[in-house]
Amino acid sequence: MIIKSVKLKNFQSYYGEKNKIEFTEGLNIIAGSIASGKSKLFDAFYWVLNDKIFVTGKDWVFTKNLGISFVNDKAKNESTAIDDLIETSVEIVVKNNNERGSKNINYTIRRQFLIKRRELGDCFSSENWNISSSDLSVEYIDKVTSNAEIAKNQEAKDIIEKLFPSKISPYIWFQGEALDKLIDFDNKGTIRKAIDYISYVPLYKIMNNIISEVDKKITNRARKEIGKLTSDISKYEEISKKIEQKNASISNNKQLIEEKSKSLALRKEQLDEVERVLAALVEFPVLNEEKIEIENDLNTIGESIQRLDINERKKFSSLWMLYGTKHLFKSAADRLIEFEDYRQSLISKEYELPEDVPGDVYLNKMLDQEICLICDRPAEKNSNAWNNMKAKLNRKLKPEYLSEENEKINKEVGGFKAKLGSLSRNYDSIHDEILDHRKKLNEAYEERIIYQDKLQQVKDDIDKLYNKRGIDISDGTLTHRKKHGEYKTLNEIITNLNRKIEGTKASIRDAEMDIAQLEGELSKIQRSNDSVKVIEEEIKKYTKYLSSHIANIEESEYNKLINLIESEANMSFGEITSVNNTIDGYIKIDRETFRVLNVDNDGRELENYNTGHYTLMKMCIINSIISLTNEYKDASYPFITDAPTSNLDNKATFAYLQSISETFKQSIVITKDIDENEIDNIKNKDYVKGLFHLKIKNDTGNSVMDRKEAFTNITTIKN
Amino acid sequence: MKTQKKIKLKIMKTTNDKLLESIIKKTGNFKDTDLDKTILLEISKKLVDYVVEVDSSTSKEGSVAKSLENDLYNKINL
Amino acid sequence: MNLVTELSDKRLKYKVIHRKSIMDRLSDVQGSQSDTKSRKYFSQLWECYTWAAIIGFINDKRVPLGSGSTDNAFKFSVIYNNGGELADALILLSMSKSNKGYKALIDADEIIKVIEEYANGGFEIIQSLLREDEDYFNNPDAFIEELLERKELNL
Repeated sequence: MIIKSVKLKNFQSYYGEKNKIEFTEGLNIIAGSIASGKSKLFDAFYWVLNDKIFVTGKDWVFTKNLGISFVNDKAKNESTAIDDLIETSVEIVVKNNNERGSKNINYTIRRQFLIKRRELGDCFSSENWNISSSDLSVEYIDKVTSNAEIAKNQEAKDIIEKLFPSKISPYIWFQGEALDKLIDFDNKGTIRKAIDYISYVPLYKIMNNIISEVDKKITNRARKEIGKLTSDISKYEEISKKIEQKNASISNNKQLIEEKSKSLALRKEQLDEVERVLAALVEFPVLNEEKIEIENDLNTIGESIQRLDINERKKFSSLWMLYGTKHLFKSAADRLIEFEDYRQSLISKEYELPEDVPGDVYLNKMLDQEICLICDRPAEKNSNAWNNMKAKLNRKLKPEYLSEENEKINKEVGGFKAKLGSLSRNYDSIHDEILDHRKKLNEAYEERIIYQDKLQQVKDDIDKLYNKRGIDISDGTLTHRKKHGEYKTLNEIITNLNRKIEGTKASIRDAEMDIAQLEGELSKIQRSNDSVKVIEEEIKKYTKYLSSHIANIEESEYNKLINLIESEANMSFGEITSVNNTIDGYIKIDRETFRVLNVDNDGRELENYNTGHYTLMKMCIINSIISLTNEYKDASYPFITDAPTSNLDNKATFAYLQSISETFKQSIVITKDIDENEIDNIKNKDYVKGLFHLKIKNDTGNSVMDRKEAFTNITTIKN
Repeated sequence: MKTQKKIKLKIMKTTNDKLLESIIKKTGNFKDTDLDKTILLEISKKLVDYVVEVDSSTSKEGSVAKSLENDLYNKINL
Repeated sequence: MNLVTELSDKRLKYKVIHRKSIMDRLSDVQGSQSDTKSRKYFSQLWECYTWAAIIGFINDKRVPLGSGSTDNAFKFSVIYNNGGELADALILLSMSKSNKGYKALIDADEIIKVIEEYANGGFEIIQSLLREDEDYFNNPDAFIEELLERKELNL
């Protein structure tokens, strides 16, 4: 099936009618920068077929709950009068070549939505418009009558279901956020459903049912017919009845086993889930305690670092900053000594009296007697002579060394000598103090780094717990107890189920043995007429042969298919990992849980992949499912996708695109954020068959794109 | 380097072909029995066709089982 | 009146530019109660000043204040009351470098002048360090590093 074209009218950013893209077979690329209208294009496909639009952060929302939000703003803005009508529609033309033996038929699928202006005022408010419901129609040429037919409502929906079967349509296209909603790879059922859909496994079940039923019927009839020919009809019938009863009980038991097995599978899934939660819970308290302990230790270290820091500054500003001044203090000391020497010299000088000056005692005597004993003249108190003598005495009583100035200096020198002494003593300890401080500080820093690393490690471990299991581990003990209870209960239930199943199987075996024995008895009963042959006896051989073989095909085909999906997925995965160094290994589908894993050569799970890698693996699996569907179902579906450019680098993206182009008859890839200069690059690749460019424009020439004027412009570059 | 790719431009195998193939494979082309191989093959073909009918919802299991019975009676003679 | 008493009332002058580009950068703004990490190395201006003076003395860089704008910042008594031995050290260093020698011990103005001029020189030295590397003293380790790098002149 191929998508030939899509036409949009007034749908989201697409204004008016001239919005059409005509696709080709092979790889079609729709390029454009952010907000150019790419994902709206995707929305358009989805809206036509499903009457829903994906609202960011919410979910798929039905048209009836969207109001007028998806109607083009420019069109709304241009409405000025009551009764103004705006038609919003999307039309896709699809060529269906999946119906074998028939001509290829084009289907035009159209959804239309009308709004009519009810009141003036805010043109963007739903309240001012009358809203119709959305209308679906499918036009096609009837292959029998060659008439043009238009299907509506349920009929249209039926056609769409045929064209895009809902079991497979999730795999035909997906886009960004919607991907996880559409396909939950963590759910075992998802892949199983896909396998059931694309594979023959359900068919084998049907095959098995048919041939077993026929076999049963023929066998019963054979017995009856033979019974008619026996010599002892009543005995024959009695034994036949027993056989029939046994068969019936076997049949019931088989059904019972099937029911119990389903139940068992469900319980095992539940147990699996509980085990996951328990594992996370058990590890959590231990890790959490460790985390708290390390945090406390870090606090202590932090405090001691702080103390050291405060101490450093205190010491710096009271002593340490003097480091290196020793020589200056020596020079200061020298100065002080200079003064002392000087003073000493003055003192010594004092005791050397000039010859004409009598000594103290003699002067005092002369003053007392008021007579100059040298010149032998009287010197009355306060007379000139007397004053002279006194002056001489005073001069001596205040020796130079005792001058005011010198006295002052002397006092200071004395004081500072002492201070210098104290300073020197303290100075000597500076160097060692500093080194010691530094050592302590460095040790504390190192310890802190070690503990910080430890903390990060524990935090990472806790995160891993959470991310890997996706479980809320905050509740701790209560959940643990509850889950543990569930664990025990489930284990008991499973044990019982297993026992029951085994028991039932044993009953079946017993019954089969009884039947064999009874049949043996039957065959011993003589026939009254040996020459009459019963045809059913002959037919029975064929039906028995076929049904016994067919019984086992289902399981082996199933396993074969999973292997095939895996290896197909790894083919495209391998091409991408060969150009992208950040991803490695292989894709593995866990046979028990159906989880998608990234493994190394030895099958060990690699845990270093990120969301981008996981998306990539999912896409490879989806690729392989679709391509296998195309093979198996003898049908081809287009592959429509958002290219995860932001998760892969350019080389990887091109490798991926090339891989897609070779896998699908038609693929439509909407690329993210490719620059205009990249477009030339893409255009020239010969595996690109169609190239379209989307750009937001306005007619007003404003550089700022106002929603009321802006619209998406489609340019066909190659097709 | 890449192995040659997957688009089959030739006629793709039909479901019927594939189903039949798996029966033949499983029975080793009917080597393990003395029963008439032609008949086995024909019956298998019919069975496969019926399966596809049921799968495409054209028929029900009950009725195709009946049809298969008839086929058996037709093909197998004493 | 002894020297210390006389000095107490006198003020140590410095250039405004040094206040802005060095002292304010390296000392906590008055009254801020920030945690250790964002605290500056010095908690009071006089610490930074004293440190600059010592750097000037050690490097023998004496630069008269000249006629540029100066800012009367703080009394000598602040150093004496908060810095303990540092005040005595400054006096001794000042005396050792003064032309007046021991006579400076009775000349408070001389002591002040010498300290001011060596502090000025010290600021210039710090300034050129910062010009080479703006972030030189952003790292608290730098202060002790600088200490340990000082060479002792052997007399």
